[in-house]
Amino acid sequence: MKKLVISMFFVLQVVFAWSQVKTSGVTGKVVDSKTQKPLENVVATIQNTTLTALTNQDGVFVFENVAVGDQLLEINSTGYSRQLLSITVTEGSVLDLGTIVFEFDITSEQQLSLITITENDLGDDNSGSENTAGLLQATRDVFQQAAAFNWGQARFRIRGLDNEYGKTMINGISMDKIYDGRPQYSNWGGLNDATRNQEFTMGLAPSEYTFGGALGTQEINTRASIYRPGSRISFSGTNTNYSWRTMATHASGMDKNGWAYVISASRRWAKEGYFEGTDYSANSFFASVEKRINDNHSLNITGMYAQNSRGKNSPNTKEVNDLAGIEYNSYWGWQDGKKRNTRDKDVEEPIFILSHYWKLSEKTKLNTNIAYQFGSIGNSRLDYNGANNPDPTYYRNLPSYFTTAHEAGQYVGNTQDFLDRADSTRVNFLQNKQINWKAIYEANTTPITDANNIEIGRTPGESLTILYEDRTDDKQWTANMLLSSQLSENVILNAGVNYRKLQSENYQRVLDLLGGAFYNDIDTFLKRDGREQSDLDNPDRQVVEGDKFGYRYLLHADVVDAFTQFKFSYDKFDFYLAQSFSRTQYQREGLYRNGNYANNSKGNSDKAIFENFGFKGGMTYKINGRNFLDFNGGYMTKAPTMRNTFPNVRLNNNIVPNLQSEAIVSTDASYIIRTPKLKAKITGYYSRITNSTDIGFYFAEGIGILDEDTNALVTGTGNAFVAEIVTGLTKLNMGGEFGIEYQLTSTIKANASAAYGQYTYDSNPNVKLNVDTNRSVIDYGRSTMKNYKQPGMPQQAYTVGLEYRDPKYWWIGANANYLADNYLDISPLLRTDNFFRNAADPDGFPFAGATEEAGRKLLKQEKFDPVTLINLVGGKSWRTSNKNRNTIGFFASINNVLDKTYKTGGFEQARNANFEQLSQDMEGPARSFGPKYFYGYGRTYFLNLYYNF
Amino acid sequence: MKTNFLKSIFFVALSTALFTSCVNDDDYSVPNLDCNEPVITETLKTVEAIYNQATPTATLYTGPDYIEGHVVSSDKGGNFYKVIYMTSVDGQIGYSVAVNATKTSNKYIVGRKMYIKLKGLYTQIRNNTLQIGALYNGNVGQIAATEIDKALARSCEVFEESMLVKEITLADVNNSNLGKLVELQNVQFADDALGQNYYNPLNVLGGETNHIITDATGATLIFRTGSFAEYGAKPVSSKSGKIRGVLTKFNNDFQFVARYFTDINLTEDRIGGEPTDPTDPTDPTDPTDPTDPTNGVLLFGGGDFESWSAFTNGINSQFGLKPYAIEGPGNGIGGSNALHLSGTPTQNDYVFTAKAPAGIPANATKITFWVKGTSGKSLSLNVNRSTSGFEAFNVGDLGVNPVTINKNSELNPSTGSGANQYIGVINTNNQWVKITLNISDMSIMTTEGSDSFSLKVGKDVAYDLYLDNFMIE
Repeated sequence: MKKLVISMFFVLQVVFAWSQVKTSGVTGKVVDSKTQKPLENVVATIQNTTLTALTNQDGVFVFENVAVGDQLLEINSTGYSRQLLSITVTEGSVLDLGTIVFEFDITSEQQLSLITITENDLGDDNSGSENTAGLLQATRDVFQQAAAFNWGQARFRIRGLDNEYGKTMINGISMDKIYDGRPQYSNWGGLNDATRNQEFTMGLAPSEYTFGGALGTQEINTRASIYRPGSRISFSGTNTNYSWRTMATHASGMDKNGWAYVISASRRWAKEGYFEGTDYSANSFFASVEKRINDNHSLNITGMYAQNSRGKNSPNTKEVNDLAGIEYNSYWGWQDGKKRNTRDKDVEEPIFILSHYWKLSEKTKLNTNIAYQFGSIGNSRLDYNGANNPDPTYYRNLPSYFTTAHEAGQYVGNTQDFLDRADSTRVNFLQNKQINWKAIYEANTTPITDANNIEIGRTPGESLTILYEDRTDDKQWTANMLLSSQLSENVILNAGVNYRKLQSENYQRVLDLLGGAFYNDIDTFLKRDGREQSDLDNPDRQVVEGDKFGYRYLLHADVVDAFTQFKFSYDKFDFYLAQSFSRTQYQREGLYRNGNYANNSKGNSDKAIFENFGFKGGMTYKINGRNFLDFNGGYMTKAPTMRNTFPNVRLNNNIVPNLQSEAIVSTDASYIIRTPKLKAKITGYYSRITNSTDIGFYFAEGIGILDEDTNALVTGTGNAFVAEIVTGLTKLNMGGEFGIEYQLTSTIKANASAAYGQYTYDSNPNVKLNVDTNRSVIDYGRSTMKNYKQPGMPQQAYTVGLEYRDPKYWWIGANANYLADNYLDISPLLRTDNFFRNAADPDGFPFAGATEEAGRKLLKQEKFDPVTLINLVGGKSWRTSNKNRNTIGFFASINNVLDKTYKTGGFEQARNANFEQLSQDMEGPARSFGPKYFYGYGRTYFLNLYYNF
Repeated sequence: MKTNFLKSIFFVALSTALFTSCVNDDDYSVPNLDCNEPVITETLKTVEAIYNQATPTATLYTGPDYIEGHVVSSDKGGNFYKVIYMTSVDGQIGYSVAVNATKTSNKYIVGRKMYIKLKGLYTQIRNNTLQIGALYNGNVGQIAATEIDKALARSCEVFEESMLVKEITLADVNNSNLGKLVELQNVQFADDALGQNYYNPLNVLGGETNHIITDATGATLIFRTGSFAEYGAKPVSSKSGKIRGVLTKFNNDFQFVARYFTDINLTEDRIGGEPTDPTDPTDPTDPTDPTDPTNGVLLFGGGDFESWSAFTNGINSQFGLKPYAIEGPGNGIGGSNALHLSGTPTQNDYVFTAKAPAGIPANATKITFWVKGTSGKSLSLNVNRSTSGFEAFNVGDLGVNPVTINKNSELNPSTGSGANQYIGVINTNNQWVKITLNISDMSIMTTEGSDSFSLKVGKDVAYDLYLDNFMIE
């Protein structure tokens, strides 16, 4: 296979003859409609050719060799409305289009208002965002704009694919974390102005920068000379994850000495965001400097530094939401007159990119980048040793603990005694529904007494509960080389190689002893015979603030990939072919000798090595200048992410048994209409991802845990911290997309989009549990997940909207959206045979009453209610002076005008994992271990004031 | 360019000015933890009065009364669970309060004076002890979690533990000391308990392990340990001394419950000496007389290290002794001498190779020796065959429990001898642990003066091990 791939890199490099076509020149000058000032760095493109030109300081663009005949000229620049002009090129004379008036696109303000739902990750670990809305920020496609601006708030995902299947790049440098394949948007959060030069390709469509994945690619370009010179300051208010934002950006443009620079800074903050106790603080800085050495060489250096610290909000069960409301967040408690959140996420990972732009010839460009990123991600939470679970929503603190009670198999939750206890528990919960910091401090201290044995103060004792963070400190070098060459008039070659080297240190770190003097670094869940030790080489450690403890290991990754891509354009057809090859190597290096895994926790793990390849191709058939057919197809394999390679990465060097690369087949077909008034596109797509691996961690209750020594089933139930390893999962995503935009009058535009998808699991994967108390991996066999729906996004989405754009520089728009078929994330373990097996039965027979019908009822996947969301947007801008292009303006939006309450996601708790316990949990008015849900925002607003000069 | 530059300075200044705006920083001052004496409106009763009033039948208490007491038990060590023992302020009566709460050791810290508001609670004399709590199946049971703070109020008075503990001997074990914090003097665990852990899953009664405490007079008392006790996985001490804890009773049996590992303060020599002839072959404690003929003969000259020169003469001088293998005078079993490995080998070393002494039994079935200490890797032993080469015995992980090792069936393909492995960690928790090599399935080298036995260690990790009494039988 490998040979085949390598040969493919060369076989297509045949010599392409230069065809002899008669050509002529085209030139024009672009000016701003308000100020009549020339615009620099506007992109002019002759459609269906590879010809592009940039305007110079005088706003002038020049094409030298345009084929004679009718052509479409597109003029495009960030922040301005795109223009399409029909031109006729005649032989021998340069066509001068004169002055082209370019209108400022006030709707582009909307881009800067895409509230970074992408930062509001659901996960508890240090992973990136699954949400695809951030990817689409700069798109111009009507469907994709709907997906980003109207559906993004409801966690819509394009084609049902996770960000792992997309590629996000800055200057061609991959920003997807090797750990999970997803971008960490916080790394450039708040730098909307500085990162607005973006190119997006959908699905398999070719990108100049990468082979890409099944979802699409996002390339952010930070080369200083391409920014339009000028300055901008803005101030925003909102009630989403933050309250206020300030931003200032200045771009110099290229001066006569060949220097250009851009600087930007922003701050976003909230004392409390939309959900209770979610404080927010983010500072971002950006600088990019370019030096044009000569006509052929330029150097650019970009630095980005974004600090982001935010409090998270808890997903809650239905019972908790019913008692405390959907804005309720169990993570915070009052301390010092402030809402102190136990779960803060802190991200601070500066990036530096050095780029070299080399024009080898008129036809060939070589771009080389070297990037270094370092810094840390920390997620804080409470840890406790010898104290009770401080979580106010711990299941024993809730009424359902009593109303679902069973004694000797009989339901007793409806007896008066239990109802009374449930009621006093309810009252108690409502009075104590936040973290009790004071009690924690008190438990971490011991009394000081006077001569009369009266307590007169407290002295630090053993900390029973501490605040700590799970830290990831990454150091990553990336280097790439991107070649772009016009091999002939009809053929463009893109090729690139990319190398990434990561060292990621992961550990627990004490943040706050909460009044105590030290914390015992042992695992009290394990037997005290040495197994409880975090590090046998350093046993019975007492740790203090700043100390690393618990677990500590390095992850090493070396990833190299290369691609080639040939794009052919002819009168009737455009087509492309691309191929890629990559080699991925992961290794874990344990720094602690864990007491539970003395022999395979310290030192190097085996190397996990994956070699992967991909092929894709596509074609656009131009029926005429206005109607197009587009087809894409690809096959690729993808290395499992590092996250899914090590099943118990915190404690030992194990690698998932029989770990395999994913295989992805993806195709789509579209019909496109583009006329001056009507733009529409309809697409059908299909993708199938096989051999997926997924690892999850949780505390499982009643999973029929095995005897420690014999591995025989222990009678009764067993509780354990487990890592659930799901292998051999197939995901099938297919559906259709439709987007249409029609200019009703010169001022009114209508749009409509629809997405109908069916995203299901298409296999019954294997489930294994890694159980620390048993130190073994137990195979639970297959999980009947086939035909369950993939969770986490609406599979149907519709929108219709109208936009009015007044010639006096104000505009207003409204969209009505309907989102449906969003499903709960199911627990694979609940779908194994173990669910029905009665561990107490000597022959392992199923539970009484565990019929298929009863099982189906219990295991039915919850479908969330559909929701209708109305969104309003509008804005206005004013020119402040006739002499320059200074403008002042505002942009405002109101999302979810009707203030609808709706679930955006949720997951089944796998704690009660057998038939009997799940049935028992379902008795009574509220489930004790019911699913936990995430909710969308209610009515939110965003108001942005800006000044451009 | 210049004006642009000034502009940008202006923006940076402007924006940084805004950056100082207020949000929650992550600095919080410590909450006010001052102790406030609770205001009790009920009437104080003596514990004696309540004790006298209570009957073997759980009875609802209806009067607006309260009693006082100092906490003496603790669930910190995991051996008390959902029950708090208190002693009346005059020290005369011990009683218990059952609560549906765990991890209460700090809230109800030992020594804290408590006020127990009796109205709505049940009292009962069970097993000669006053029990207070809620009603459960006709007896006193746990007070519901949400009701505990209504029933129990904490005073600001906190006694030192020394003011509460009562020193007694086994002769003083009687009903008057029930529920109190007592310290048993001059006691030790009975011989039967030695070799077991405090909690032994193979020896449980009602889910917990009963061991017997005894003293010089032969008096006995049950010592009870649950599986969650912090010291449950530790081996029973053979020493004598003091044990602190709460005296309880179940039916007619007095049961003694220690709170933490530090309550077991056995530091003196065993009364009557170490037990003779431990019959239990897995006994991890000190053997009696290591040279007892019933335990075989020394594996090599100086194998008990009582004579260092006998040992150094008994090893192959060509290979010598590694410098980190030194004499451990007084550090052997029962205060004898031992071999001490102290250092970090740089190679997978042969520490020594011993020559067979005269009189090795040809049909011996096992080699035994004792290890104490810690090491980052394990030990590997070579037992030479009567023909050529050797079998390797790899100790692997070694904790506090004795192990029997079989020869490694994996052979080194180039030599045909057993393959050495040093994987494993040794930590015997400062106890002597017996290692038995099963040589019943091999024919050993018995020719006097021939190399017969080697000790090997792994490289690049620290060893701090004492070895003693290499025997063969």
